Amino acid sequence: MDEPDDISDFRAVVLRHQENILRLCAGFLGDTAAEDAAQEVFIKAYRNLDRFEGRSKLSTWLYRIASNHCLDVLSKRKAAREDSLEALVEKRGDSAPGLATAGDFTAGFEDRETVMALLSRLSPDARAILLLREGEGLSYEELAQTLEISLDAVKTRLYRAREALIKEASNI
Amino acid sequence: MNPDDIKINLKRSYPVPRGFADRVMARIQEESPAEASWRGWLSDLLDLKWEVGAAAFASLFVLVYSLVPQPMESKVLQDNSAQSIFDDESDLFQEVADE
Repeated sequence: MDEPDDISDFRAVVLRHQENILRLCAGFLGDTAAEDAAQEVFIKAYRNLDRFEGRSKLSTWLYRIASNHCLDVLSKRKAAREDSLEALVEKRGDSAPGLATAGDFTAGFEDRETVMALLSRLSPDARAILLLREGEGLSYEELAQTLEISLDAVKTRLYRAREALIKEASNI
Repeated sequence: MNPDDIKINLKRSYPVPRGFADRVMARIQEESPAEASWRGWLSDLLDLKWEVGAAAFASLFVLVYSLVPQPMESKVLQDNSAQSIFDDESDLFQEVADE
């Protein structure tokens, strides 16, 4: 089991969680915007440390701040297209693995870059739950706490997000 | 294809930019130095919790000791002893002078 964080030493908190938060922000916004977003996440967390009640893990709380921040950024700029499918296809030509064989997406879903490109076409909510589940490995309970929804809503949203991913893949 | 059956790969290690934590802490200092200073002070205080606890206990002990009524004998001694010695000495001088 993870040791609890000592929130009085905030630098240690940043060091411990920086990779996860950066990865999540990169998943939402792309690599180039990830650092700025992650910095904002930690600054927001610092300013709101008093509100952390310890009912969830600190990592879950940070994921919640990061998800909300990235969703805000996405809604402001409408579409983050850094990892767009068009760019990927253009870069790879016709030989993109998983995309050329539209009938079988198994290989495509196991190729991270392809999945990231497909994710950019999904709704922000679908993107959020897939990034947190498949990228960060959160449990259903942690997803419920992070996204502030019920367990049933987690299962439904996750199912629909996966369904939407398959649909996007089949549209290629 | 059942959506629950697909295996999605989004896991990867992320290369943390060098000095990321330092930049975060610098921005915190820059944007809210007073708060950062207060939290730093609190953090230092928490690091010294044993020392702080011992000092607080010692202060409390001194405070309680000074407030609790002292035993009667020492109080009488404290209140009257100097005066009585002075009186005794005065009497002695007076007797010598008389003689």
